[in-house]
Amino acid sequence: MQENEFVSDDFLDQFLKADPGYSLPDDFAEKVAARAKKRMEVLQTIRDFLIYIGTFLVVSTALFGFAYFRQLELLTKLKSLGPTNLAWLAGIVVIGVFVLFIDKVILPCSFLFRTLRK
Amino acid sequence: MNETDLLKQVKNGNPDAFRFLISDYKKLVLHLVGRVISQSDDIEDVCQDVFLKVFREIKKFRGDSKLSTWIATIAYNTSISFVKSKSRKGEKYMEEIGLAEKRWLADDHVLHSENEELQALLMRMIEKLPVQYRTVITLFYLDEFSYREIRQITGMPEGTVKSYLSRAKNLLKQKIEKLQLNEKFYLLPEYAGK
Repeated sequence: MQENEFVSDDFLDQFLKADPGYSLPDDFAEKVAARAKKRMEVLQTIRDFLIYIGTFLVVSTALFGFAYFRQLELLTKLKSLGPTNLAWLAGIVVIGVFVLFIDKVILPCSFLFRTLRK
Repeated sequence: MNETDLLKQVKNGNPDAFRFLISDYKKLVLHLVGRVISQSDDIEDVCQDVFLKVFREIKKFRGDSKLSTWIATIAYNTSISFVKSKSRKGEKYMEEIGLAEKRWLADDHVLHSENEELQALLMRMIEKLPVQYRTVITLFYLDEFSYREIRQITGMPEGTVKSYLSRAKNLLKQKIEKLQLNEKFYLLPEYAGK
């Protein structure tokens, strides 16, 4: 390309190195660090909930497995409850998990998001 | 606190250390995001996204490159994704480079600037350059990355980086020449070339 006669390279280089004048608010770093901290807390909350559920599932599976293989009385008693009562029992467990979910995930997260928005 | 200690603290999830890291690299991210997206309303949001990604991904940083190169890569990718998403929404952000060059040279809006300061006028010219040119100019001149580092950040081959830099400078020179021919402004003698 033909060399331009009017503008020197030095001038252009000097200008290209000039600050473009964009700016961020003074509290930008604080704001972003606070958001990162809240995100970390939300993730921690979800992780805690998953640990609760995981522990519950592992323990109950182990108990039922033990009862099944050892042909314990517990299993016979459970079978004798009948489908309706078993459904009630399952319902109570589901409600328990739901309450745990609300208490350990939804409430802390909604609190965190509210403080994040402020 | 040196960079290694700072990194260790950030990797451990220390928010104060992360605040220091943001302060250290704020300018680098701001320059790159600002130049790539050229939309002042969105600059802060995109910069926030960049740093949140940095925080999320920092454990994956193994020190294979400089921390600044790694952060600039995240800033570049985030800005380009933003630009592409805007393009999909119908805004004209990205286009084929040859077309973008022609449109830029033909656009005389930047010429109506008799009372404008030279510095501001030239800044506006840069902001209207094709996005690839704005990116390499910013990384090379403002953030002083080498050609190799710019290749790592943008994924463009070194030859392309060099060619974009030279094309961008020539385009700017052509535009300034056009301005002078239109007698819209005069360069001070000390700025003029041969």
